Amino acid sequence: MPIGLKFETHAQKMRLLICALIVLFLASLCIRMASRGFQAPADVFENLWLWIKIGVSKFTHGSTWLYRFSLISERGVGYNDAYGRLLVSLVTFVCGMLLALAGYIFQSVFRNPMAAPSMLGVGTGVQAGLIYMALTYGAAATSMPREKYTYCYIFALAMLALVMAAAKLSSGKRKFSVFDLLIVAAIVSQIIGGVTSYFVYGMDNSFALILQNLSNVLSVNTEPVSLIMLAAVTVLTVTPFFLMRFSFNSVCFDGDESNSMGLNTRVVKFTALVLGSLMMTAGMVHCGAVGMVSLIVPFIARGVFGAESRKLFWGNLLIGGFVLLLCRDIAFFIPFSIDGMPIGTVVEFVTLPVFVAIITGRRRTWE
Amino acid sequence: MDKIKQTGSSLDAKIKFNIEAAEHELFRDEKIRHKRIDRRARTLAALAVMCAIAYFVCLFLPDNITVNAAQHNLAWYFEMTSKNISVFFNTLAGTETSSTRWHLTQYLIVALVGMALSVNGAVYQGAFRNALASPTTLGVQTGGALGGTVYILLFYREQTGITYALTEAQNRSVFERYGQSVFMMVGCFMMVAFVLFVARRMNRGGRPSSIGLVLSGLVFGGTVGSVLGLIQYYLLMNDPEGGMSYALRYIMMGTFDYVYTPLHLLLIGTPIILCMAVVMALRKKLNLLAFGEDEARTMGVNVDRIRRVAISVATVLTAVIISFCGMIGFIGFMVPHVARRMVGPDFNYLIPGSGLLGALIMMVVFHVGRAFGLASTIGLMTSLVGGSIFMLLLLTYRRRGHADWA
Repeated sequence: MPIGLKFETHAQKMRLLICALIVLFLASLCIRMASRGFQAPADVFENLWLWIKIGVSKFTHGSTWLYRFSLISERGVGYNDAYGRLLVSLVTFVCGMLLALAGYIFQSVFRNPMAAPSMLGVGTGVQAGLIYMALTYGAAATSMPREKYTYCYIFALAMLALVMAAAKLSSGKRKFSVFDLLIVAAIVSQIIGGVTSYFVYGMDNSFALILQNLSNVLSVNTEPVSLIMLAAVTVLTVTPFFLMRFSFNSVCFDGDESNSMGLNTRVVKFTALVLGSLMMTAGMVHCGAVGMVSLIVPFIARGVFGAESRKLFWGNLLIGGFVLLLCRDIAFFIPFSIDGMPIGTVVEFVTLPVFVAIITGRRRTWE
Repeated sequence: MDKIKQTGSSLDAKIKFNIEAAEHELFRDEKIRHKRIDRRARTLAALAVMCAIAYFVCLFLPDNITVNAAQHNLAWYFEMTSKNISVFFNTLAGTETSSTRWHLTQYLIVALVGMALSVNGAVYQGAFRNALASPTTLGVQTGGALGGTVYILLFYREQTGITYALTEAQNRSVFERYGQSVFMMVGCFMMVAFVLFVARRMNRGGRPSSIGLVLSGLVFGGTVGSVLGLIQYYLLMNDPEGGMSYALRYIMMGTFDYVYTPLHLLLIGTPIILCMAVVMALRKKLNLLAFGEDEARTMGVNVDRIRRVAISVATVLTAVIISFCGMIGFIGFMVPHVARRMVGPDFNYLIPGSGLLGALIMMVVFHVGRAFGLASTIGLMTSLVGGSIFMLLLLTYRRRGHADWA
């Protein structure tokens, strides 16, 4: 690990990571679309300062609030861009964080480096929601965030509930194991995926384009409804997982070993799986198909911070946000369409060399 | 004397009884084993018979494609079935020409493809000792799709590749007819070679471990898949009314609509039969692999060679199937699991068992698809019908507490 060579203790590594993250975040505030390149940092921060001042004086009814229109028109187009970029960067960072945590949870519970968080069918659920949106609302679907979140979350949660119910049903009176859950989830999501792919197959090209626009999430939605939604899901999923970061170490043991130590890993495992599925849903709905983050980032985090889940919690959180933010910045520079490149493809290509470096490296963090 | 005789005979009887009991004890395990083997052989025979019956039933029962006005009452079904039977024998005798002669070969192809898909899945699950392994995990299908996409981008004409009609195909040269198949096969092999290369680099020139193989297959397959998505997105944005994106979508959805001549049967059947022979020759080694890589190595199995052969065979099978019939999911994942619950995990019985079961399920699924007019989108039908069957089996077998594979 190039980072691990000089910085030996975990605290030092963490400090370095946080510094890198702050630098990247500030840099990503100054980036504009492909055609416009960078904006001067001083300009950006003046705009942001004005935005904060207006926000504060809204409650105090100060002079800034009264003269806000003239102040904003003085600043020009850059004002809207500046706080738009701030929100986009924040949303991207939170999504990366959630995806990396979800990947970490699934890889730990299944003790398998190939376990993807969409295995419990939430990916299929989100896809079904998007198809429903595209077929119902047509071209208007891209500008209807509230409906999009409602349908995507409902479909994803319905899939999760369906998978759980089917697993419970298939196991009869026995306790159902995690492996049963995986097999049943694969079947249920195959069935639903078959139905959705039938709709995709029969779609007109115009609807297919709308679906692609919806699922690629080229422009991140920063309306209040989407911010509130993301914040709510983040709090609801990350807080419980933060509280169980101590007991989450127990999933590394076999069932028998942990039973002999008096730990009930089944509850921990299933809670973690549900939380991970929710995190994955949020990441996919708000940031598009960026599943590779959840596959690669846990490897990197394990390489840097070892296998202890209290440290891995923070490690995954920060590295995931860092990687996704970096990919979003790169995506803005590639003139594929007006809004740049689909972030999923950028993520694939950014993480590919990292992946090759990890698996050909000396330390076997992927095992 | 009498007394002594009596005691002697009773002693004899006692000794005899004890010997019998000991023998019974001694050979009990052997008997149970034989009984099990008998049961497996009977299961296989029953599956083969059911396959044959299903083949003829599918041919004889009416469907909504060849018959324009379907009536759903029993008398009509009887009438149509008896008519179909007479047409079938007339066709065999050569006195009548009808679409039945195409169906004869089409259902054979369907059965062969189902067999190949499920044997493929069984080989993957055995070679990687992973219950979730399938041709998609090594990125083989995605590689094939990439090859097909390149063909479409370079040589696209209206109705090219697997979407052409037979009459048009007669007028084309050999390359044009099978161009897309060749491209797909090249794509599959390049993908596998690349994944194998990376997996070998993972152990610095050593042996590629199964987890490394699957992991790199997953990652590179995902990357290629995202490139395919990007190509489709680009085509949709720049040429919304073009047929290219329809053609691309056609690859993703399997279909048997364009394979029904004896020539196709020959082209699809030959590699499938050859690969099945290789797999049957490997079956004992695959049994030993189930102990784990290191254990198999200590028993004198050349793990790398076995796995390399298994992967090549699986790649050939996958390439053949997707180049002629598109991507057909789920059969390869599902059937080996069901077959394992029927005949046990011994590859001697598992490979023929899953092959026969795959053929049976594929034929049933295809016929159901034809009856509902959905046969063109066979991927949907395999997911729906196959998924329901699997779910049902899981529910019933679980209750009885059968052993699992994990």
